[in-house]
Amino acid sequence: MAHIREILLKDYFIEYCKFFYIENQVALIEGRNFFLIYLFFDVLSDIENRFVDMDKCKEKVKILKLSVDTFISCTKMKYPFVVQKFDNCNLLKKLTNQNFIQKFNNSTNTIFQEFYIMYSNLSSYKDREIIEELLIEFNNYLSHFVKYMLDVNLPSGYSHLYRACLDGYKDIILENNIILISDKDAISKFITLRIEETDNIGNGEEDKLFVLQKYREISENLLTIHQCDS
Amino acid sequence: MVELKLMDKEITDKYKPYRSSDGVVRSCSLSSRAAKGSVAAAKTNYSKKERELFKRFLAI
Repeated sequence: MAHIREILLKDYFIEYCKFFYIENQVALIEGRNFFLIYLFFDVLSDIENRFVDMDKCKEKVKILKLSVDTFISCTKMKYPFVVQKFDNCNLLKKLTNQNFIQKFNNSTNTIFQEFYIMYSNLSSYKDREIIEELLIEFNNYLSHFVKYMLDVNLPSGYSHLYRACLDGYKDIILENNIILISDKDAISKFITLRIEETDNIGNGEEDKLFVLQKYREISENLLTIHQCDS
Repeated sequence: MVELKLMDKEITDKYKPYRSSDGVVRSCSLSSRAAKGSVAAAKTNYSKKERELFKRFLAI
């Protein structure tokens, strides 16, 4: 089972590399392709989820590939001078290296789960799937991770997912601050968290995961009250 | 073989991926740092085939 997921993960990163080199060249002219960035987020969520059926996962990767190829052919037709820099064979060799999965697990697993949880919460709260500000951070994370795969001395992109999680939770808190200030315990917890956050400015994101988890706890309580009220 | 670490049941039971899209990209009211920062404009001129593929993907 894990073996199939590894293969899917490798296919996934090949598609991402194809996409990101072309998309970056035209993003400021055409606008960001949030359909595809959302697809990349959704597929990674399923690959990371042991309870998602493998056939469903494979089908999604297949459509992802079709979507990337369609995007590339449409873009090349419109802008014949765009350049595809990544050579799939060379990339495949890098991805076949066992360290790849290890690198992915070490740099991504916990923070991606936090991102997935935050995105699900915010998406349900805002009643929409595509939240551009968060997807752009996810895209930034993937582009950093691709570079990190090739050179471990580069940053892995962890901080982009961390920032996106904080932004998402802060948005929920800002929009529900009336509920927050009406509860003495909640506001006291929140102020303590703000102090902890301030005290940890400058520390690495991986050491500040607890800050994120406390934001999650407060946001989820607010969402529960918000749902009960409405 | 190096095993993939995967999401545990508690997470996947509680936070099911959310689905309700009509496929339309709308502007976001996110009032955070990200909203003021690096967000580029969203692509709107998707081809018919791209839209169809997106809908097909969401239907899985």
